[in-house]
Amino acid sequence: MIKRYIAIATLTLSFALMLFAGMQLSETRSAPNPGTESYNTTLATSSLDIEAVDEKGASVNDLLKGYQMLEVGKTYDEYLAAKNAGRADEYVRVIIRKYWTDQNGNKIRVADKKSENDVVTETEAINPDYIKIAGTDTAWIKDENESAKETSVYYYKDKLSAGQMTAPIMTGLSISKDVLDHYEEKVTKTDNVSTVTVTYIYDDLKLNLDIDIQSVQANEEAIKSVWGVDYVSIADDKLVIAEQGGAHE
Amino acid sequence: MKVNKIITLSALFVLVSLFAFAGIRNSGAWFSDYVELNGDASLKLSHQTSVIEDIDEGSNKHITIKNTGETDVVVRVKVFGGSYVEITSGENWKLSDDDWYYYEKVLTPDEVSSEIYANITSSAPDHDFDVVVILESERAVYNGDQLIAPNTDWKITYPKGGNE
Repeated sequence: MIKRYIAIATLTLSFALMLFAGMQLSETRSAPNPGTESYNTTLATSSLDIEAVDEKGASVNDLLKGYQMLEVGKTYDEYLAAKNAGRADEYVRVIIRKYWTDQNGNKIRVADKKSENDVVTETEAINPDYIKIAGTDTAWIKDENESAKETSVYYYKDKLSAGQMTAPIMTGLSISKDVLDHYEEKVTKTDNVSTVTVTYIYDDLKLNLDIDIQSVQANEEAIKSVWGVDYVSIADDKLVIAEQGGAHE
Repeated sequence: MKVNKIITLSALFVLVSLFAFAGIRNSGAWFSDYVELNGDASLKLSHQTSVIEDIDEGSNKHITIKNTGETDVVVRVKVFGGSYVEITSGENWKLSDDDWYYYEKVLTPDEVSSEIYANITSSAPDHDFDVVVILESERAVYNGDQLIAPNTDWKITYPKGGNE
């Protein structure tokens, strides 16, 4: 009799351990980490699919295509929206990063002023604000909690049904003419000829734009879990982003 | 016997708990997706412009301006030759009250302007004199799609018909 009880207990515990192990495996495969390949290949492709598209709904794979050299102040067409290419409802957010690099791709950041006595030189003051994104629709709500000088995070307030497109994330891009305010002037004289050479700080720099469009199934817990934000909630099918001192849609 | 019952019940409790726990945890397996895009483009601020002066058999000057740099430019030209020289200008050149000829069109890289023709008149004296050409150029500055004044000293607004 005792042996039977021990056998039953052993079998039960073994089954429990197998279940626990299986659950851990499932957990690993479905971990809410959008940055890993396994997560997307395992789950996302099965029912949820987000796509970057132009104004006609055609797929977009690259940004600034065809624009090798930019003119100051000129607006360049660059339409970008998101499309629910899957079968399930979803919510969407976008992370936009804009920054300057040299021609070799070395990042040039805004210098942090370490103390009151430190001098920030013109060269250090490379400013991503001079890269202007135009045409972001008001349906995209800026997340002031996560946005900074170089990075902007926007949440699309409406739930996106299967096949539906968002309003534009952007329609164009330009470089502020304020970049021309940063220059060094050098005068050389040869006999009776004076030559003034003007070197601009932003000359020969590269503008870089990275856009990450993310979607999650239409569920508040999913938003909190996958995107790791506890201040975004759903009210009447619309996203609400809470900020310090209040909340707005 | 009592011990065995306790062991069995404990095992069953663990099993039921795990089922319940697994159920809750599985509901946290949310679906998501993402797409990443990037791109870059260069900014060239330096500019270079050349004045080309071709002299024909009658010593007349055919003046054109070429954008030899990599960025859009706007240009203006002044020609000095005294009363012996008649100036005629081609398309897009406009003589302003300040005696500068303004080219009212952006010169894109490698683009050449229309001609300014400096004709030596028959009343010119029979000795050497110079026809001097002065060129000024500025990089084009846009506001959206509209070209705006490159330099306030120029006191001219592009395109034609814009604010003075």
